[in-house]
Amino acid sequence: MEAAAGGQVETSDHPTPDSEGTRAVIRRPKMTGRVEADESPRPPPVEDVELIEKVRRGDIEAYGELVRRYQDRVFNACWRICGHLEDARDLTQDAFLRAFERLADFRGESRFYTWVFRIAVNLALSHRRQAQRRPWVSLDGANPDGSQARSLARRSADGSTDDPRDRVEEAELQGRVAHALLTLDPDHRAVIVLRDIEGMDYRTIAAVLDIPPGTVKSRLFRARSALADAVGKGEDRVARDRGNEGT
Amino acid sequence: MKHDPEQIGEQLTAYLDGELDEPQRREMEKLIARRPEVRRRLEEMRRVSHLVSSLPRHDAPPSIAEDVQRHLERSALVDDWDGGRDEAPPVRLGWGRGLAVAAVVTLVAGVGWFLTREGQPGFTESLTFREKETVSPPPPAKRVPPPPSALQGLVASATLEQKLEAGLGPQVVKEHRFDNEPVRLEVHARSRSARDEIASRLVAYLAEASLTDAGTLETAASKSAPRRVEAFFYRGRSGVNFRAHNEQQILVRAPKKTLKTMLDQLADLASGGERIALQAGPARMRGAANVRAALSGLEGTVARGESETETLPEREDERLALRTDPFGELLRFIRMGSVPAEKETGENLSQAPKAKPGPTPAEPPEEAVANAPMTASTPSPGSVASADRSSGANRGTTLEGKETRDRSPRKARSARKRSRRAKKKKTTSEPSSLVERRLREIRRRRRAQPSPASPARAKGMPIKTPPDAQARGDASGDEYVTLVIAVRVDEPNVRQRGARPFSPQKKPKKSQARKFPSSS
Repeated sequence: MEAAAGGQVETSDHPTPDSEGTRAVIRRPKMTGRVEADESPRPPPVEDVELIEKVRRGDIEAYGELVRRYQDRVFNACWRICGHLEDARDLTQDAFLRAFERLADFRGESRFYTWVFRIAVNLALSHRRQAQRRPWVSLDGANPDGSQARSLARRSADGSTDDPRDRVEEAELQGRVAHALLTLDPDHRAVIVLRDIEGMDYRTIAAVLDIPPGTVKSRLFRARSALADAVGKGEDRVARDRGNEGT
Repeated sequence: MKHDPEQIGEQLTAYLDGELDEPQRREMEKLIARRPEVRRRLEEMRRVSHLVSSLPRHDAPPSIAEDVQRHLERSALVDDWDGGRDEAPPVRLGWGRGLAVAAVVTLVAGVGWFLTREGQPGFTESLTFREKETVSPPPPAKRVPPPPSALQGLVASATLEQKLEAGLGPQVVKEHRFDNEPVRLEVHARSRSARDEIASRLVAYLAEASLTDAGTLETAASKSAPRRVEAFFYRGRSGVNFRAHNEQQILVRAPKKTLKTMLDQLADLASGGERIALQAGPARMRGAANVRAALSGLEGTVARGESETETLPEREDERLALRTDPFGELLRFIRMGSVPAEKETGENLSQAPKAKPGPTPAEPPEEAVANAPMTASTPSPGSVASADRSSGANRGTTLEGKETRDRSPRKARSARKRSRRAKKKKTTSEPSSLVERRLREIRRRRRAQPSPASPARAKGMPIKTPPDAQARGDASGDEYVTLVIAVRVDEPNVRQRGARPFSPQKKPKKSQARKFPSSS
């Protein structure tokens, strides 16, 4: 279930039931690292453990390799938890620096990336809590980092859907989901980000957040319910607005 | 299965994520088939899960890994100079660096030898221009210890790259430290772009003021500019000592007057919403006015012609009382942290020769120093540099145990004893290798490291105003202050100043509503 090294895309075989209750397997990309073509044979990636050993011997280049390996995942998780790209960048960097400082404490009982995620998520959560005490508003409205606009532009460029109206609607929906995600309680948001964005299993989430697996389950349920309500309300509002425009 | 809606929901979530075991999964499938509302709920959650997982993703900025690495390398360098931190992994010097170190050592030793052979006064100043000349090895019989200024000038003439490779690069050892923290002048910018702009304008100002920087080190070394600011570059980053992950740091060593002017410049920049703070250890002063006041106080001390008056109390409880007044302490510290040029040559900064503010500061590589023969009467640049490294503040004794002028007789006696013991030890057990020598020095430095509660300056060491500065009638004279200007981004605080947004999502909690009922 855990990601392979080297920035490859790993697929997870989640036995996921479909609407009729039968089991289907969704092959979901779990990692957003640089995807390289598999045309030429590559040397097998060096294991994290080996790199960590090198770092412990004083090889900073090896740590750079570890950072490059997981920075995308950590960055995306931080971004979705704190809701701001610039902050996510700083948090990611902080997380890796702190991980380096505490490398002596890393005993290899969990995977390195789980351990870094724990540091990063804790940082992002505390950052988010601080930000909640000091609320701010973005001039861009619900989409402070402009991801919606960028996403729309990108999708328009690749022409993944034919109908421009569909593309706009899809982008709007994503914007609503991203916004709804930000309205969740930080603990709930962290759980849903780790599960649905990072594709971690419950045991890994429990290890990252240092909570029992049962709590992961209940938080995830509440988070999804709240998110479904928020998205549903947003859709109702949009439908109402369109109805008003029609009349 | 229990039919509590909450539990069903949780099981449904686990079912959706494939986290149920086989019997639980079968039971859940039956329930889904039997109850349409459960099926609806499952659909809803599946849709939400799909929506979240299909949110756009960003690649991390590629500079993250580079910044982290650079930060770690720099920390390693700083730690190395500071005696090392136990918890940080040691940094291994690669072959390239090792060779570079060897090259610099050879260069320094060779040219030093050449200098000695020449024995011409003032030869040091023109060393920069002779660096590329072929140097023939002098006959061993004529070998005499080079004057310290020659060695200093020699190292000053080394290129930045050579210094970096030799580990002499970012001369952070010269930062004034308090509670093991450098004195920092912080500028809080509202955004990254503002931060970069401020940093570049600041550097531009430093360059415009004809103040030397590492890039023009050689040229500046040949001029005796009365005003000096050193912006130490790291890996050739333009004008900036180091781009930390959230700040740009510029290490500045400048006369107080220059610092005041610079502060005015910063205050202008700060009008756009940026803020300024001066920090020394735990003490912090916010606001341009306060910082200016601190610098005014600093200048006032010199203007009044005070000399040999600044002593910290001998008693620990008095020092403790002093610590309860961070503002006063900061002022006092900065006052004391400003090092007279005369003293620098002998004790602290190992900078220029006494007679004139000559070559820009640089430290001789200790290997070269260790190789150079020393006499008892000549203060060795190695001892000076090492003493500076060990504390960042004026130290009573150099590593070789040489006492300084301003000690009490009792302390002077004990220092002499230590010195004799050190000499004896040196003659009996001369370290066999550079590594051993280095280790011994680090150990010695650690032993000599003052505790935060009782810095070296707290030993009642008087601070003198340089007589030559007084004679020139220059109020700021050669009183230099070394500090780190850190231009930071502090977005949350900037946001805090904005109006509180209207947030329809955030309704007051019920418990709060009950707690604070409306008056109606």
